[in-house]
Amino acid sequence: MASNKKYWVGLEELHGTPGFQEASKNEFAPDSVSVDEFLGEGNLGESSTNRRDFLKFLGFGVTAATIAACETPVIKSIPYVNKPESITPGVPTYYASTFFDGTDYGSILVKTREGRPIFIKGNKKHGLNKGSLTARMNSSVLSLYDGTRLKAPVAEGKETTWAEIDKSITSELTTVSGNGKTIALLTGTIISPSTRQAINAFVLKYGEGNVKVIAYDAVSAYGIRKGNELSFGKAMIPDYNFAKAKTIVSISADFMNSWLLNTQYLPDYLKNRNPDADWMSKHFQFESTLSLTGSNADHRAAILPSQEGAVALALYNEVAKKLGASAYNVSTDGLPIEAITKAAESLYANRGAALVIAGCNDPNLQVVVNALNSLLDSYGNTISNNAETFVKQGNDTDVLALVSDMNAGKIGALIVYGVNPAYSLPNAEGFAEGLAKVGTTISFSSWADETASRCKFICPDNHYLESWNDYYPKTGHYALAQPTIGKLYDTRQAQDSILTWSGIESSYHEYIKGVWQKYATSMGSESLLFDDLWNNALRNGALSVNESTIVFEALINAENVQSAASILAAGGASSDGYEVVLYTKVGIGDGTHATNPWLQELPDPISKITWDNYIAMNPADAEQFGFNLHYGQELPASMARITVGDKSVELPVIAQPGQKRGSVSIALGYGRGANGENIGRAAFRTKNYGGYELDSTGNRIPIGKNVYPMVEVKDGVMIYHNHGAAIEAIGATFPIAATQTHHTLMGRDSVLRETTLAVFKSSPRSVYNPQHLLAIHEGGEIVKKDVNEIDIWNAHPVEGVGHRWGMSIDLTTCIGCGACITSCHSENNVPVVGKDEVRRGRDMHWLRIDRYYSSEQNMEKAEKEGTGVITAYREMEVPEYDNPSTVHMPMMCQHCNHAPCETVCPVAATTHSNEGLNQMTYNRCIGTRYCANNCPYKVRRFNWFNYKAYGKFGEVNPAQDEMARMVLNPDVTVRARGVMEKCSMCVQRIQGGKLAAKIKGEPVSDGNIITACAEACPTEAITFGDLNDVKSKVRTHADNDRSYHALDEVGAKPNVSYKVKVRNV
Amino acid sequence: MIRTSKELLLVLKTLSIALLVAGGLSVSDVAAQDGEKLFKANCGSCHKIDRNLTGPALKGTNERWAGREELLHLWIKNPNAAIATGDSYLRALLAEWQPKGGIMPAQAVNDAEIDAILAYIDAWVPPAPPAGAPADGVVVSAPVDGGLSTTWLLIVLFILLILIFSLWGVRSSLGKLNNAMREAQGQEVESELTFGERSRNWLWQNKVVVSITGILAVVYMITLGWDALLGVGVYTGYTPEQPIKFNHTLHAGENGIACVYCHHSATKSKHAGIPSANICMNCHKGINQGRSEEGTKDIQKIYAAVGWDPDAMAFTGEENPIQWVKVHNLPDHAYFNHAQHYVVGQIECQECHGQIQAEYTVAGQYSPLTMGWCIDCHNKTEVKMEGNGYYDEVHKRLVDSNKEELKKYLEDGVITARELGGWECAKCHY
Repeated sequence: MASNKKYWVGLEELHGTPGFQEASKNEFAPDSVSVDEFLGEGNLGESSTNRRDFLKFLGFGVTAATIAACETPVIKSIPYVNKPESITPGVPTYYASTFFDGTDYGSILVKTREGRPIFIKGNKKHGLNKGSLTARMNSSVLSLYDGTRLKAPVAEGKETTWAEIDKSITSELTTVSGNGKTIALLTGTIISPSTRQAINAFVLKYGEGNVKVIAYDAVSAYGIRKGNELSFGKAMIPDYNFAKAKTIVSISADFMNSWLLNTQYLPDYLKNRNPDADWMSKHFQFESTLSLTGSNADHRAAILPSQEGAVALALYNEVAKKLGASAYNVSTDGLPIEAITKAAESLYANRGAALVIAGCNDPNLQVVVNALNSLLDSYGNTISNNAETFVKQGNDTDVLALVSDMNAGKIGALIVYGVNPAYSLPNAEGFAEGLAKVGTTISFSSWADETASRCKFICPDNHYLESWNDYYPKTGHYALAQPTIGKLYDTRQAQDSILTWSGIESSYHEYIKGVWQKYATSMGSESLLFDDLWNNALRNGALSVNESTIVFEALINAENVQSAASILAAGGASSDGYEVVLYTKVGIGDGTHATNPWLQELPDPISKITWDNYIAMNPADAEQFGFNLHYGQELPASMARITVGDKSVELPVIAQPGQKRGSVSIALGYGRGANGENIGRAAFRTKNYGGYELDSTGNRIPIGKNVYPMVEVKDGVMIYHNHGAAIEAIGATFPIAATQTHHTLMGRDSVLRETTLAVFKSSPRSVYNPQHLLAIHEGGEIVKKDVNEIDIWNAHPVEGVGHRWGMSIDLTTCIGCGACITSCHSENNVPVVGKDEVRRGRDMHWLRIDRYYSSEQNMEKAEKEGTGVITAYREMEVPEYDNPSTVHMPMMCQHCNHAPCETVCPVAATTHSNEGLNQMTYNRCIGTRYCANNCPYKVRRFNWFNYKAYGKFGEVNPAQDEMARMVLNPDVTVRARGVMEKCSMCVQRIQGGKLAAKIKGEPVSDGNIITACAEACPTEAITFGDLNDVKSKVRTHADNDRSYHALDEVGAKPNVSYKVKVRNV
Repeated sequence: MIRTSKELLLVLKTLSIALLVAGGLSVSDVAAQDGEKLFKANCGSCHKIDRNLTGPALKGTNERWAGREELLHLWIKNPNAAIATGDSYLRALLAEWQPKGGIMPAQAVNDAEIDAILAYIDAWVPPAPPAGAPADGVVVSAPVDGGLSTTWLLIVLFILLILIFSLWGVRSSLGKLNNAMREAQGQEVESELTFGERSRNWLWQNKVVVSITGILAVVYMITLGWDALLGVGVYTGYTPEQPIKFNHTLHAGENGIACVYCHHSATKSKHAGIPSANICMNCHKGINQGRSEEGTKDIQKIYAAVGWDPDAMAFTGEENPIQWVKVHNLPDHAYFNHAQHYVVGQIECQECHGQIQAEYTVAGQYSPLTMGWCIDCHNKTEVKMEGNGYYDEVHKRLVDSNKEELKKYLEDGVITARELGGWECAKCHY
């Protein structure tokens, strides 16, 4: 039961540090900056302006402003000459398209206004992602307007024209192929059939023997392909069907964040996480770092990376024992036996509906996992053997061979497309050296990044929102991408460049159509019908085709299992030093999006740290080093040097509960632009009052450090963990901008409610979701009354009348991925404030996701185990360093019908609407901030600065960039300094939706008006709608037995309700 | 002025009809006055008499086809048959015009009617440019208001000043005279009081009047100041100079073109929209003459914008968007939606924009666009619920509820925008 559990947002709260207690009392962090420092960085005394001058300036300023204000502004208004039929100024137009950047794949809808893409959402009707997307995907709209993108082709460091660069490149390529040297085409994973065909044409043009095409993924899954080759004789990745899985065991596969086709797995997985349904899937996670996926597992066990093989074998043996099959030798020392036994039991019980996956690139581990899946009868059930997944085609061995070929002088020309190996290869230095030995080097990068800046020619590719493309992510599923805006700069789509160099004159658009037509004909479609097929596919964005083929025979090669098992059993943990896990973060991913300020400011779902890379270490380990355990405005993290082999980096250390002792985790994707490459504005460290921090050579200092060099290369496979790391304290500290202790709820744990599936199924509501009762005096007696019956205010007349907008958030399905935060950012023009301001607790996110840890101990368990009450409470407070259970709770304005903020506003700038909205009127607000002080949910944000103009934010705030400003939503005011703001429940969408209904003359139909967060939620945890519409989804959710109001006891009567989290433990 | 120009037009019309009647009678039994009607009905959409349009200018047709009248008749009635004859003139004509407008379709006219049309063409004389006054019957009001009265005011003030000075002079001379007399009579000379001293004395002696006047003056000044402040940012009457003096009175008034024909996004968007130039071309592809020289010049500006060559009757592809000056400027923090008001609220354009089709030509700001103006209307305006399913549902919920405080909304039987939340902040500010 929730109220008996101890929750804590961070070690600061758990340990009750004075700083935390102080901060939890204050709504706003005390300003530790002196006025002098703020105004002039200490130079105020040197100013020659005296008081009289100041008064003169003031007088002149006021007069000038007054006179200027009296003039009628002349604003030009320039209409279209020929208005396109599909565009009406003021009305958005949506285009179906597809996103693929090597990490995430998904069908999307792009919202454009007056021809500008401004918002991206998932395509709920078409596409294998069923509308789900990641924060990286919906933030990608901002990168379109990046003013640092190359604006023309570059040859040898100078801008040139396309005609000229084509001439030089084709002549050089012809020379190279004539000399018998190799032309290497190093690409990311290509899942576009037409691109593949264009590359084939290129290969034919320059001679099949001369051209080598190599696929490379910064974070590869080559080990999985190789493992499948060893098991089934075919290097492939099968299609996983999470929707059928009743038990899921993941060995460090972060499938909710970035593993393979994560956007397909997530909605499938969440379909079976409904406690109201007949059954609910059970999810076990074995991992070292507390990942997004691990934080949502029913059972999580912390293991060392080197124990992954042993865990897989132990699981195999447990299941084999039950099935009477033979087991393999493995030592189970130090393994979480209890969790393994539980997982094996569950897997066995759900044979045929079980799924075991492993994230590690070790082919031997994959072979054992395949054998286990085969034992569990997963093939043909939860793992399809007539469909395969085409993402992650990178071949590590080929890539590494290419680097040595380059250094050996065997490569005459290198074309790099969609990857950045000079940054992301483990031996990036070797690659850079080899690159210098290649005569003709060509990059398609949009920036002069680490690789492109070393290339002779840069032929900048279009942004994907300016491009045509097609996709074939898995068997039987095709998708199209179409341009949503004309080219902003003089760039050219990479495929068009390849076609030009291959001597093909048609545009890539026509080329795709040709490829599709040929395919359609081969599938028996009549050519007359092709236009229909094409137009439909383009309109929908995706197309499913029945391509039933047997991809592989699910017959395990037993010999290979035997040898893999013996290798795994032999290779245990090396005893000395720390093991290092290299993972990708939800925001930055593999580093492609490092320059996106929305993603940099998106708090990590677990650590809640923004704008930084760090070493995550178990608090117990950190304590031993004497590192700081608590972080805040004036509490920096300790710096440490971590050395793996001959590579070492210095990074701050963060005490991360849940991290396996003896291991540390560091995120990949940081440290971009370390040699001063112009890769974007937001990837570099900024000074407190604007401007970049510069190193001794005058280069900008990147945020975080690049740890790709620490990736272990074993037998030609890149393994994303390493061992034998030495960690030493270097005595320095580093400020950290973490939001985890901001906006705390003053210890009001009742904000959260959770229970277990068993309790939920067997008990009445009063057990897992009791009404909050308050003792009051009535007629001289003390009676307990439901808080909802106690009122000192007159009720707002919203119930049953007109609309009453409300939201329901299911804590069971919310995974904390943060896609809603970036979606809200994009929709509502929320300002980016940068690291320094976040550190001061002034982040502006309208929607935050509170992450609570809790200890496993609770009163029920204590009662069962016969623990005394005092001991039980102590145990609940015992720091659960090793494996805290985690809850993610989205928190935004609750739109209370008895809003405490409304009663304290002296100017009535925040008022209640008769549709149940708590309205914030910016132009009336005078900035007293009383409302924020009085808000029990701590959801109000104050505009401390003029973020859109003040120099401090010049590097981080997109609104200060002439191009990036185009991403602003024209329907939402950009707020000025000195006013409050907060979640408006996307009132612009509500108004727009109502108007659309009125014009049609129909009632608003449920689902037509939806907030940006609900739209982005990949798990449909957030439901929005009209509570007065008795048939609406949100009303059904609100009436559910699991539904409760956060902090019910304060009696604010919110229009947002939550649903109790149910764990299937 | 309107009257005079209308009379002039009437005279002109009568004259030309008389002329036509005279010409027509001599040709055939089909009344020649039908020639004009027939021409307009059958030929006018592609031909003009004095200049090329989709088809060639028809002036001089009789001369050009002299001797081949039969073929001309055939050509008009059955073009394909006429082409089949292989006539060389016809072939040359086709070579020039077919690419521009295709082959002329067969016209349902008989020989007599063709003759009437040809006679009308023959007799046609270009209308004489109307003398002096603007021909389009539009009042062009000269901006003379204010100028005259200010001058008069200044003159009066000047005279008053002279009067005051001369009176002052007289008065002081009198004083001096008085003193001189006293001196001459040996009496004590009155000490000369300064102007300040005298004013103070006077003020002291008339305390009540002075204080009442003072209070009144202060109140008046405050009122003036307050009014002036209220006017800051209010631009009623703002009529900026536009690149094209688009004549609303002519288009929307006289020609009766619906406002939303051009401002069509008012039906679905928050913007009513400045029409794109291609909408102008729907009509002005054919109409390339204005009623005045200025009008013709303005039409030329449309052609320049869309890249239309009126002689070649083709688009050149060179586009230069027209840079209009925005008239109605709402502050950024106020949201206004045309579709909501025009389509849902069924409010006529004129309610906010004035009788633009009748009273003024170039668009100017008619309403103050202040918040007071907005909410005043929201307070009074009844919501147009009838026949709208959206309101049926909302209204049903309102009626079904038994909330006491809501009954007051229903009491007067009128549901205003305000009662449905039209006064709430987040209806316009977000």
